[in-house]
Amino acid sequence: MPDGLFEKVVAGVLRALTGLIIGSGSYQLFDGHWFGETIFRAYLQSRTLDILTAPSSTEMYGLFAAQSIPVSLQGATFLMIAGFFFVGLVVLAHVMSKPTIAALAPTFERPRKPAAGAGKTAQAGRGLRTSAERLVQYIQFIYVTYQPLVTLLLFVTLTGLFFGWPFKDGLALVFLIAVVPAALYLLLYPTDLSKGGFLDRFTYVGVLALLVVTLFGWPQLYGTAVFDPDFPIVSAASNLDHCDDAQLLKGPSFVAFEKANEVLLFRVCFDRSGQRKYVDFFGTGSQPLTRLGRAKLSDVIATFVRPVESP
Amino acid sequence: MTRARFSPFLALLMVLALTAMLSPALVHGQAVKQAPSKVSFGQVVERCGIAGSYTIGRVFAPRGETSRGNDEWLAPDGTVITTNSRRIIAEIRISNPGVFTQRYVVNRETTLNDVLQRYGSAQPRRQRSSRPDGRDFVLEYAYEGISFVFGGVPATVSVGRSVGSQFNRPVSAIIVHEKERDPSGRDYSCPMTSKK
Repeated sequence: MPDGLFEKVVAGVLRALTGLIIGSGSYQLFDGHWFGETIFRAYLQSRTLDILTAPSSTEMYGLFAAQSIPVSLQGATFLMIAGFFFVGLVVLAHVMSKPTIAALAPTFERPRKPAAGAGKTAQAGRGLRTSAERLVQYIQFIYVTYQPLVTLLLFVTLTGLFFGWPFKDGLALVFLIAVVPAALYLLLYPTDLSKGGFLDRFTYVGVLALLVVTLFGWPQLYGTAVFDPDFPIVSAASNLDHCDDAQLLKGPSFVAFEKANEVLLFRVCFDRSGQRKYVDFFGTGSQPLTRLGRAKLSDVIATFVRPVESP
Repeated sequence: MTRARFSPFLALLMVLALTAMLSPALVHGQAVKQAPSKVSFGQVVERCGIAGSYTIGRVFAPRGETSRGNDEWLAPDGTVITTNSRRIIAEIRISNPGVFTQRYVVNRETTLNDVLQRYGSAQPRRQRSSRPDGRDFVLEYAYEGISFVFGGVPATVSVGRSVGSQFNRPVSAIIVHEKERDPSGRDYSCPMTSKK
């Protein structure tokens, strides 16, 4: 097989693989049951709840996944969005200008390192200015020469920022600026892996790994830190759930998901010590429901008081 | 020689400055997270004296409730609010099915036996602002600030003795009222205001 064809095939396969990863991630973000289930499980885990009976339909999970980005963006202020938009543009500019920077690299001469004691000369002001100029030149040289490493460092920083984000608001913004430029980088430069040098290959694999880690981290982080839905409280027939079978005490019932001809409910149950709490999913059948407003499951859990200890 | 004219590092510095400017907004975001929980209509938080939009000890301002005389008001959903002479809410009686308490006693579902398992032995009230239900059995928890009415169970039944099938009767109404001080000094504080 001719070399050119082989390279094209490798690049095509890599592009397809990258596209598959990005496509799967995007699908999971907009209608992914796996993402939704992970979000819900992370949410329950953070509030010390378990699932007693899994839901019969997974459409609810798809909804949780589809709402994740919009819900997370709701709390963000205009300034925060503008700030992240700006950062995103800078990162995108960095990614897209890779070929230009690579072309510039051979034209750069290594400048002298800025002298530490330059400011102590007789003409201190001029010396300082010269030193600052040298510093800028040196940084430019480092940036252009080690552009792949700078790229990797940038994505490591963004991924670190995403996983260490301390606030409830803005998580989606950090996620987007970590994921979108990374996906673009992988789609634009698949030949880095087949034709590139060591640094290019290293950066490509690193960015791919960071993208996968961030995509897997999103439902976990969102489910723990942001996801906090409210559900309609209902009065449901007490013979439909599975709490009695598991010898658990029954709590209130909520609507988890409903369509025209199907209503999925869940009931909160707990053991006799009140230490372990569960959500038990069940269908209504043809039983009528009495609705009593809405409540956040986290509020219901937060106000819970354990049963008195048996004498 | 061609030179790169733009400086991404300058841009990064600007972003850092912008983030510093945004910090009050970010801190505000965290403060919102720590705000007290909202209580919805179907949930009773008896230790805080809250049942839907009504709170024990607050001045009652009618919003669609009709007066039944004797300082009693009937809400459209069947909730009965009893006030004292100064229009302060003293009792809230909820009959709606599905309403639940802090120990997850669900109206019209949880049985007398289950209420006893969750709340323990009765704590009879020493103070009351309304006359007790004459016919039905009322299980009172004075220190918790809540009582449970069991329709169809004779008021004369004693929980200490065997009452047979009456143990399987469900709660027919929940009454939220003022908490009384427990002589043993146990903590019945409101979870929405106490620090954990």
